[in-house]
Amino acid sequence: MRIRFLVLFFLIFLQSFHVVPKIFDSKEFFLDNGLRVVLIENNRAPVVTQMIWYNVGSVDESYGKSGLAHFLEHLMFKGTKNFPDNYFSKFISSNGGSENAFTSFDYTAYYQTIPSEKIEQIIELEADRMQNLTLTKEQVSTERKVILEERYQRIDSRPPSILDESLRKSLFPNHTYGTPIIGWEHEIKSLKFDDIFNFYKKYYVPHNATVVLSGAISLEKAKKLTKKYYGQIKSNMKSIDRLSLSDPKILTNSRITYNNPDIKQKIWKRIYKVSSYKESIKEGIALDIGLKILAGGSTSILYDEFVKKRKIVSAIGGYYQGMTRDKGTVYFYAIPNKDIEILELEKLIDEKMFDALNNKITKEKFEIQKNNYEYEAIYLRDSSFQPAQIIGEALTIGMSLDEIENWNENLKNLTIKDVKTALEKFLNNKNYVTGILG
Amino acid sequence: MKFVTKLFILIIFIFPSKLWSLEVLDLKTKDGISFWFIEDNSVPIISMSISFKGGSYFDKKGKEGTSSFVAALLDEGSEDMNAMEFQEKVKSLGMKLNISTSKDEFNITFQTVSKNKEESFSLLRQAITKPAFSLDSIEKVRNQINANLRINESNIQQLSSEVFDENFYIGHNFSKSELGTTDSVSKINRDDLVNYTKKYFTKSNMVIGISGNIKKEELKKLVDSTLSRLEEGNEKDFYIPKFSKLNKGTYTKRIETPQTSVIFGHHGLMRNDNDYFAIRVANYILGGGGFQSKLYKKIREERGLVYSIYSYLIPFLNDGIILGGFQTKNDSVQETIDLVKKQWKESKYKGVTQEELSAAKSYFIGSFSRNYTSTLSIASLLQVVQKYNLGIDYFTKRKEIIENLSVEYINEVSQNFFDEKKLFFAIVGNPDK
Repeated sequence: MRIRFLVLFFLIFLQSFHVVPKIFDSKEFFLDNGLRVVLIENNRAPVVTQMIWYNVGSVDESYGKSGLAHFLEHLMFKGTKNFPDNYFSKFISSNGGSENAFTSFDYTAYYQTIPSEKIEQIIELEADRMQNLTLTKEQVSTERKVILEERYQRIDSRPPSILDESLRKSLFPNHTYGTPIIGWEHEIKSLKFDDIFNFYKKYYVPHNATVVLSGAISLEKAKKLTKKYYGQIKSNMKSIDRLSLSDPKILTNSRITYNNPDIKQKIWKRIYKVSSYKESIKEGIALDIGLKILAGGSTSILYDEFVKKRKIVSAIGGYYQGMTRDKGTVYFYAIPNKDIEILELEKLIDEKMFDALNNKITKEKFEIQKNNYEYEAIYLRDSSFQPAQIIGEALTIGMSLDEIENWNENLKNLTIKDVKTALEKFLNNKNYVTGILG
Repeated sequence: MKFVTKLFILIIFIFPSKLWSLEVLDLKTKDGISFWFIEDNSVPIISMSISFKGGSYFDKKGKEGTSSFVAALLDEGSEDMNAMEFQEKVKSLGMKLNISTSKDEFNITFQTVSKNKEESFSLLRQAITKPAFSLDSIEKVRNQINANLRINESNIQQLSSEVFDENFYIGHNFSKSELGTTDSVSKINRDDLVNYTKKYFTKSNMVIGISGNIKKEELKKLVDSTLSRLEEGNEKDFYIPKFSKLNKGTYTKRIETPQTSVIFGHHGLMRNDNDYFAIRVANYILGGGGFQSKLYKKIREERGLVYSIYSYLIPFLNDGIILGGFQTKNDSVQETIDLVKKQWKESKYKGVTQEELSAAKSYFIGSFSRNYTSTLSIASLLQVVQKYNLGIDYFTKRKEIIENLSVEYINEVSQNFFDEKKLFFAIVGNPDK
């Protein structure tokens, strides 16, 4: 009797202190070989998403070997000793599933969404390709052509991407964040079979990976199946040595221009190097909210001023990308109407940003953005893929599950002053480069 | 006037695993608006998908781009609120409003958190029934469309799609750009926009799917208060003729770039054609099935000629086409086109094998449940099944339709359907001659 009373009391106590609920209600456990597993159970449809996140991205490539992480991602679909050719992909599609993979600066991830009764097989197949990938020289040379076509499609035939590539190289002159994820064309052409295989052996190990299971699967089953398949993989548990690079302060004014005769619309861009969420979640949220008030969409201060009132641009905006292992970035852009000089526009934008900070960040705008954080948390749960995506990314760049689940706790004592402080720091930041298209 | 609210059929459809079941309700409001609904309380969200017949087909000659113009202006305030007030309200309610237009329809998706449903539906009503169309907003959007048109001039993917439409559909309004041209956009005035909404946003022309955290009786009232003031309209106003002539061969637009973008296609099928699923399966094997299709295997995996290659059926409300695309470096354009034609020929004469068909069938049967992972995808599915008149029993019949497909039947209809001689290729880039 007494125990029950105590438990009840404890529950009430807990509830009264946890006003903000956890966003995803996810659970985490580790296998003996260091593999982290996260489960987000959700039984609305008989479907499961499995994602595996390797803590390796283009930042980990050694000098002169750009594109390695992404090249390997392509080759991971080529089969293993036990499941040769494209057995895995065939299995996914012949069961109505979908799959893909992506590589970023900080991570490489693979995912499948499939009817939940097939979950065991895809766990087996993903665990198998972590250790048993087989590759032939021919596969590598054909895939190299595919990757070059991908580069031409994503970057070289798109003027805005050509400009962005140069901008990032100037913003990160020393850090590997300045190297394109897909790699420089001449380096993609020269990557060797052994470069790729060694990269795979070094980074595709259980203690460097996180598996996220989202959908109709129980904790008990998730534990049993991951242990059965991933648990067999040996691991030395040694920490992986990596490059740790940073950049000097930018003291010069960089303005990069790209033009060709087919570009008919000028675009102004600027990329800033800023703190990441990893450095401070609260400061990151303050900056994110500040930028949304300043430049996030058609209700923002800059949009109101330049699109609606002065009518000198057709669009303007800016956003924060802070979910990064090292420094974060802020992207700004404006599309000028024909009758304004781009340098004059730039001057006006700079002035207006300071004016906005001092006079236009109102309590109402602050409250709207704060509430939106709560709403977004609800929308995120209306999916099986998105929660896996968000949790996998955040854990892989080095956040903890508690930090993600309790993200919105940070809003409780966030003030408008915090937002202004974050914006002020941002506006006084000289670590940026400016780009002009056209 | 009869105040009878009718509850039509109630269908329960069951997933293969037999663990999950969802009820699709065919509902009618007091004021006579029909819609399909699935209650889903897993998240406190309501999602709605509305489709009106219309789209760029009906843009008047010389005023191409009118429907896109309307789509860009619907969230720019109403008679009661200016654009800023409206958009801030949308944000503060946690509401999402996406408006888009295509060749033959005008689409609105609306989502809100259920605790703010009353106010959110009221904003949706204002957007659809009394948009402000203020002169300031009109000029703003005109600038934005013009900027987009200029940006597209250096985007080979976008250009190839425009070049395809322009040259493929002969003597049919589908050849006109959905966004319009700088010239046509300059001629669109406020009256054109107001008239467009009056003519195309009507009850007889509207299809609705809804899913989420709300009870059906309450929802019916909200649907009435949102949409019942729309005019009845006349379905005959939305007739789009079938294609009388479609182009074949190639058309090249030269532009300096390291890679060329190609869009190709020929005549297709309507969604309610009896052979639709057979051809859908045949195309899945040819160019639809992600990493498994023949186009992917022969052209990407074996030869490394492209990063992406695909083909899919587009069922319009009047007719249909099959469309594909790829990008490849300038010196391999002809080789890739030849390979597409070769695969096309094989689909026609060789057809599919039993093994390929079994894998494709189990794909289509298994993939359906992925539609049920979000309220928005459920709402869209309900809208689409109604729009194509597939019937509320489609959810139970679908599996049977797929299971009944035989190799012989698919190969027989494929022989009449695929025709490499009728393919039209729109090429934008600098291909080797």
